[in-house]
Amino acid sequence: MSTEHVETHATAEHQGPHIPATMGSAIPGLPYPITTTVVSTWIVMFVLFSLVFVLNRALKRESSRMKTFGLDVIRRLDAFITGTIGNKKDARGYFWLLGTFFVFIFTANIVGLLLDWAILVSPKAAEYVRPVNSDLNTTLVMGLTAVVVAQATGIYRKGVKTHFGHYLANYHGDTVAERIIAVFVGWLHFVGEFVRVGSLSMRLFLNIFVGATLISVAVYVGSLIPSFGTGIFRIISMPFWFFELLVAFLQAYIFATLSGLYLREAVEEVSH
Amino acid sequence: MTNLTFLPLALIGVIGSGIGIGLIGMGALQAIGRNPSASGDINAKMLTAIALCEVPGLLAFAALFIIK
Repeated sequence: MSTEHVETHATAEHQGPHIPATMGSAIPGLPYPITTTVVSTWIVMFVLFSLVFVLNRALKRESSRMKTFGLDVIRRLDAFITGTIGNKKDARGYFWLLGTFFVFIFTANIVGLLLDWAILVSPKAAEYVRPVNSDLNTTLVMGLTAVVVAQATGIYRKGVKTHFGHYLANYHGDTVAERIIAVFVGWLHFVGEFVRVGSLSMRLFLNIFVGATLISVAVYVGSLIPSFGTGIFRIISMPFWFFELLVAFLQAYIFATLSGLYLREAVEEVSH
Repeated sequence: MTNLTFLPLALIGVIGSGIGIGLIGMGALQAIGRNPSASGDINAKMLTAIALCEVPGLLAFAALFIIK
């Protein structure tokens, strides 16, 4: 879009729904380029560290509600990760990764939804915060971490030759035709490892980004209904907001499940 | 401003995603109907399949806003 086009539409821009940008923008008035996503991540970190501080204090006491809550969360996460990876030893070994994915993504999504209210109260807040996972940079790093850890585990458990031989030179089968097909399937799996990074990160990013877009479109549609200047009908975005609460949990669950499945492939024995 | 020229194209993707999620829900409900005791396991697998299935629709929807 050319510059003069932007200038002619600069006044009309406030009439449409506020579509969030696909990446975090730098905060105005700072000497260093700190993006809105980073500020939101700091807020999420503050929430998580406060929770950890409170839980850590509660664990030292005899019994308390926070202690019960913390133990319950850990127990459920442990059961979930054991079910995903398949055996208890490896589930304990990779609890740090999958548990962090689940807790961080869920907290980030919930905090991002609560920040929607801050933006609704004062629209200027949109220049400083945005949902953490609606920035592709964050999700791309998490997807890369999941796949790299799975690959490193595979190399560590099976050795470099066996691990990459399974992808690049997969000579298995009884006849020549079966072996040729097996080699091509191995190459497909090799390409699939790169696709996994994209699919993991794009799934999370798109769900949260489209959710934010959906809410702002619903707010805009609600503001079009005549309400004697109060704008009270923007409340029709509430069902979407509650739906996004479900999505917030679901995406954290899915991300941890899929990372666990990739790890499971790495830790379990080769069948042939 | 968003260019809505590609809106019909984007909606095709959303239609496919919706049909897919409906089929997954149908299969899960039928499986639970046959074997109600396995509903916990089926629910978890259903959610994973739904998450895999809704990505093309979301891609189409987001591409509408990304293409200017």
